[in-house]
Amino acid sequence: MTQPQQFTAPGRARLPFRPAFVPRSNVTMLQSAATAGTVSEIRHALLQAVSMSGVAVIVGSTAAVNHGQLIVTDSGSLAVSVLDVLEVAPDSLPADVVSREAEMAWVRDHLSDFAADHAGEWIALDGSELIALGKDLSAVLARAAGLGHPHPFVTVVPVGPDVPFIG
Amino acid sequence: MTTKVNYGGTEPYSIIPPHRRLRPYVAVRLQSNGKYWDTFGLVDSGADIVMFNQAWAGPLGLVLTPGAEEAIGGIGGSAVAWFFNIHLTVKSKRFASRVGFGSTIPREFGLLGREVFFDTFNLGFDNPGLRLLYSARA
Repeated sequence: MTQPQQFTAPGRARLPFRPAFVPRSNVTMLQSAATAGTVSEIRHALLQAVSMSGVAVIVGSTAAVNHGQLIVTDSGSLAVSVLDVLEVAPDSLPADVVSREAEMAWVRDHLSDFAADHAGEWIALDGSELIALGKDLSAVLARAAGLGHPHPFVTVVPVGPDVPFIG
Repeated sequence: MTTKVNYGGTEPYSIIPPHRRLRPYVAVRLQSNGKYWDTFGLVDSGADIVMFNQAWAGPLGLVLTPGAEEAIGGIGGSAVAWFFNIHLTVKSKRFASRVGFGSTIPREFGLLGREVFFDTFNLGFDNPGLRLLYSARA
């Protein structure tokens, strides 16, 4: 395997994407991923940040965090420092960028756990955190707001057979 | 004739478990009367309009006045919906749209049909690659 490059200096010019297109929401996710330190979270956050940049890159199958650095390795040998990403994120980015990658990943990975007991119920998420669930949407939103999450991502635990949708 | 479209972003198809069907969902923000929440939107080139389940109307401050509903149709038959001009945000693009709210629309996701939404984004379906291609139009 190719040895990963490690960008320890500010090194903005070496970032594999256009800095101005890294939205603040993704920076938050990168911070979260770096803290959590799981490979899947890091890869997910980086992929999201890169996809929003409009520049295609190849991300490898393995990743590691060392001293604040995000290192993703494979034949492409992509490496980027988390600190570098934080530095290049401008404050003027729109506050209403909607990506919700963390929530969509949570749905993908965990919603089946609620199928048996909560089918048909509304479920509110903020990041990777389940905030509230219940049968009434207004009540779920109110409960989420009361817990400090006024604008959660909301969906329903599907009910019924998995049949083709034809509009 | 050759038409070249440059897509700036991709979104992998995703699932809403326990259902396992991969579909082109994106996160969409519904915004009206100073209130907003995000949910799934299914990019649906077969739908004429944007629609969400009417459960969203109340939280968004929209009143479903009896008699103001309009007929809508589909393979499943006819139904009714109430229409409002609200704001949607998909990715980094916020735009005004006429949106229908009806009881026959799935609750787990709304439908992002062609009217307005497909005018706002260039959209492509890389079905073999299981991903949506998109770029906001100027």
